[in-house]
Amino acid sequence: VRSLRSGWLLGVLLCVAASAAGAQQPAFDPLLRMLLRPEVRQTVEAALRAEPLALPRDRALGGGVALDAEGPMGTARVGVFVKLRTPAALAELRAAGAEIGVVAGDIASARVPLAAVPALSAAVGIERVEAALVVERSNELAASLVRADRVRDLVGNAWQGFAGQGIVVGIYDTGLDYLHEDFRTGEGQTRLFGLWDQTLGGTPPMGFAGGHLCDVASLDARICPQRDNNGHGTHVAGSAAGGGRAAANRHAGIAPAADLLIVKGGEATFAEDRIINGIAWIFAEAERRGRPAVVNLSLGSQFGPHDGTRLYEQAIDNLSGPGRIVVTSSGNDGANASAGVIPPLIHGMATPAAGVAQTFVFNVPQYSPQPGAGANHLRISFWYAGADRLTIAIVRPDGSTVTAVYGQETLGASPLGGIYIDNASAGPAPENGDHEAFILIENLVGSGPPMVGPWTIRVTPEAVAAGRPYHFWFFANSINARGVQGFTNSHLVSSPGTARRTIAVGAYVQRLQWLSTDGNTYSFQVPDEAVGDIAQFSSGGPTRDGRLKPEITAPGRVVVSSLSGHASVPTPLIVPGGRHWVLQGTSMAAPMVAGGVALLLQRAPSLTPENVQQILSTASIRDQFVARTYVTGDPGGIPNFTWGHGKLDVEAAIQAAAIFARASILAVTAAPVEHPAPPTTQRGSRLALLRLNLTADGPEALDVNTLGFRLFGQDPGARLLVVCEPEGSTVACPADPVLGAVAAPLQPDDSIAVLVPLALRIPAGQTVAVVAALEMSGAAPHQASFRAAFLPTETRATGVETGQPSPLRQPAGPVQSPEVEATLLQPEELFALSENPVRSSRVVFNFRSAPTLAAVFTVSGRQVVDLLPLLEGEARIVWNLTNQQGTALAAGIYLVVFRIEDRLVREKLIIARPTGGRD
Amino acid sequence: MEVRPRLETGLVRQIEEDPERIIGVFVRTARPPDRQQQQVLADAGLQVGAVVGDIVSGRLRACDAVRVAELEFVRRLELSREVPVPPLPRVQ
Repeated sequence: VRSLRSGWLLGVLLCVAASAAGAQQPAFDPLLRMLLRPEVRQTVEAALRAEPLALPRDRALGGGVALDAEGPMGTARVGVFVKLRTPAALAELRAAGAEIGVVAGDIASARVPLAAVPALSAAVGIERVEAALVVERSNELAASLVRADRVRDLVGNAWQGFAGQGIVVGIYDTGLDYLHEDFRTGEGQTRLFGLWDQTLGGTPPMGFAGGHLCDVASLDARICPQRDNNGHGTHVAGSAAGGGRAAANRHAGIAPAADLLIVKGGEATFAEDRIINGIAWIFAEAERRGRPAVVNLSLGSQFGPHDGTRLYEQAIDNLSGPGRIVVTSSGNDGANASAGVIPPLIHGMATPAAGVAQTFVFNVPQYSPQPGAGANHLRISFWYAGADRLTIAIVRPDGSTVTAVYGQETLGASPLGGIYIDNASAGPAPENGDHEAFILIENLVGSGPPMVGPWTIRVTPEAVAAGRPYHFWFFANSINARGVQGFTNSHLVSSPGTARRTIAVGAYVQRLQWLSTDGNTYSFQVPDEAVGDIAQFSSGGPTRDGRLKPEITAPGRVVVSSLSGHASVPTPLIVPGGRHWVLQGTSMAAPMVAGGVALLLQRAPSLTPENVQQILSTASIRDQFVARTYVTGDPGGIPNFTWGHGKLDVEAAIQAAAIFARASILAVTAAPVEHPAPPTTQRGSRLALLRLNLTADGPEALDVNTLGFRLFGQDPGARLLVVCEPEGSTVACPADPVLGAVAAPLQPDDSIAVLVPLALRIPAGQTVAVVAALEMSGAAPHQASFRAAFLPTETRATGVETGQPSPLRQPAGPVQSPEVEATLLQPEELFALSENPVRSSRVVFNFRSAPTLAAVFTVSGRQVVDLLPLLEGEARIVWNLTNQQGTALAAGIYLVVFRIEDRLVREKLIIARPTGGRD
Repeated sequence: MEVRPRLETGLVRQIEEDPERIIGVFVRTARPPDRQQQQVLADAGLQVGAVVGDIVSGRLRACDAVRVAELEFVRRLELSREVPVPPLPRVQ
């Protein structure tokens, strides 16, 4: 058994599998050799069956090796590729229980029972066995759990769907291994817009002081001197926006196609003012590039009033806004589900009652004092209502006491630990009107280090007016002091998670074990923590002023992400492949949400922090764990102060974000319908006047509700139709192409405005071509003129998802048809001629319906031309007065004969002009 | 003018402990400072980092915090604290 402990690895690391130093098997892929050992097979098989969070098929416990199990009692198998010496080797594979997939020449794919793996090594007909790796997109557990894998797709080397395209993800942390493949494009170029190392001397970004800015050129040239020696920042950045290229996309972050802006704030500490500078630079740089941005802060402090009124927090609120979101970790000071574990309680609270002393006990365990004044310290931030007056006393384990009444500053030096209390000596804090007591217990100058044993904080209210509880927090604690009496597991979200506009993120358990690159499987053993439940360390809310925090949770235990090449990392934490490692903490959960927010910004670029909070309140996973709360005094239900609104659900959040998305623009182009000859129409027939191309220009589909027109003409019974035209449409027209119709009672010498209600939905980015056509009633005179103009001001469209009115991009200048002079047959008329006698070079016949006979005869009865081949459409013939041979007819009298609707009609036709020809 | 209420308690402690130390601060001003007021802040010893509405981040010698607090348009000074990087796991 090996163990790892630190403030972050909050459990015991167990080696549950022995080293994989099996016999060399030259025909075997090294990734498969460990499976030759029975105890490894047994462990992997058990893990496959026990893992309660089912992935669709393949699992990735074997360094990317494809593994699956057919249920808890089924056969566990491993995917392999086999090179065959002879085709007969297939029989050997089948005999071993393998499922043969595809055989391509001398290569076969197969799924082999784990128990049969040793038999493969002895199969004489097999030349080589290679592991089939899991290379599907977003196969890492976290992306699946937060449902990011449902909204994106990897096509070739390009992410499609919601992967953060066009969004900046900013990371303020310990830096970045910018050479890591996860932060490079497929062509090897950097995915960063810039990297500001605040710890180096050099050239800072314009407008900012200190540090050195590496621009894209220096990052591409790999000459940027910045290094992430810690590794925290690279891990965080990988979870938010790692591209996944270092491990066949298996460990891609939530926004793998986002652009990155990185600020390295320090190796061991970050200064809050420099954090503000970093956020300001990220947002300014993103804005300069016209990009929305989300900044991740996987950091926090328990100092302050926990009500968002610190200037530091207000500065972050001021920097936040539309398209500028800050996500923070909630903190790792929780004591959730901690039966059997000493809770690291650091917060106390009580409602004061006048004259009644209240006591809180904390224990200082054995420790080795460090040299230097103040090196051994417990520092306490204490806040109470401005209307109250409290006396605060600190009692050492030996009973000696230092007391400060309201308004007093007291210093009590002692070899058993110096005590300093400033009990609101300057009066109420101007930012919130409350009192701050600042307490130090440490080896102050002239004092010894705090003694080991139980200490007491005694609070005696002298005057109580507000009825509000007082609170205190250990905000710096080098002696590992822990509350044991009167402390609560609440109000632990750290600053700046308590700011009003930040999104604070708690952590839940996504896995309990992992396979290390050393071949062993490790886990953090915490007996009462279940996969899917809140992580024991996840800080719960609310804020001191009662606001819900955290807002949301995400996987934070145990998370695999990018490994900085400059970080010194224990080998058990590195996963196979060597480019990724495991960590846990709300630091790991926050970037999952930051990546998720990047996708929300992709959907709705102008989201405000309040919009994001609202989205998360309606779109989250609320499983059986989310109803459990571990926060002291939490009334329960959902939301609650352990989980916020639940677990991050990227897919649902993107859908919910639609209401904040900008509606698409309805882009309209218009043109008059050309009529080569004066048209003829009659009752029920249509006269096309205007043609419009309607485009949903933007991210969402549009419902076109109304098109407006102004009409001129004479037909009191006319209707105006809007008809879909296949030509020019990028989507298919419906079976009934009439999209809308409205009465258009046209009167002579007047115009009317008509609004055509439509049932037309245009998919995003698509175009529907329509024609505005008058449907004649037959009430018009024989010859009449019509005209139509498009009215942009009366046109209405709505975003399908946003429900918002869509702006109109109208054609430049007014669009109207020319005056169209039409021939209108009376109800009893079967056809009409354009003129008779004919004095021009042609004559136009317009029919009520298509003739089945159309010919011209001389008065003596000789046919001179068959007109039927000249029929245009169903109701029009244009004849140029020539005979069948194309010779112009002489002037004279002719007979035209038509059969229309089974009626034979004869009409005398006089050609009046001299043509010079003869029939 | 009483400047003590304008100084956060932890900042006062910092000034008393090591007045020459360069520290980070946040300064709230009566309104977003114009260029002239930013120059006045600089003249008082503040190296301005970022101006975010009516809050200015910057660095100064701890003892200069009092001079800044005395400025007519300054309402509050708070200490910029060092936030520890979350510790990484160690093998014991």
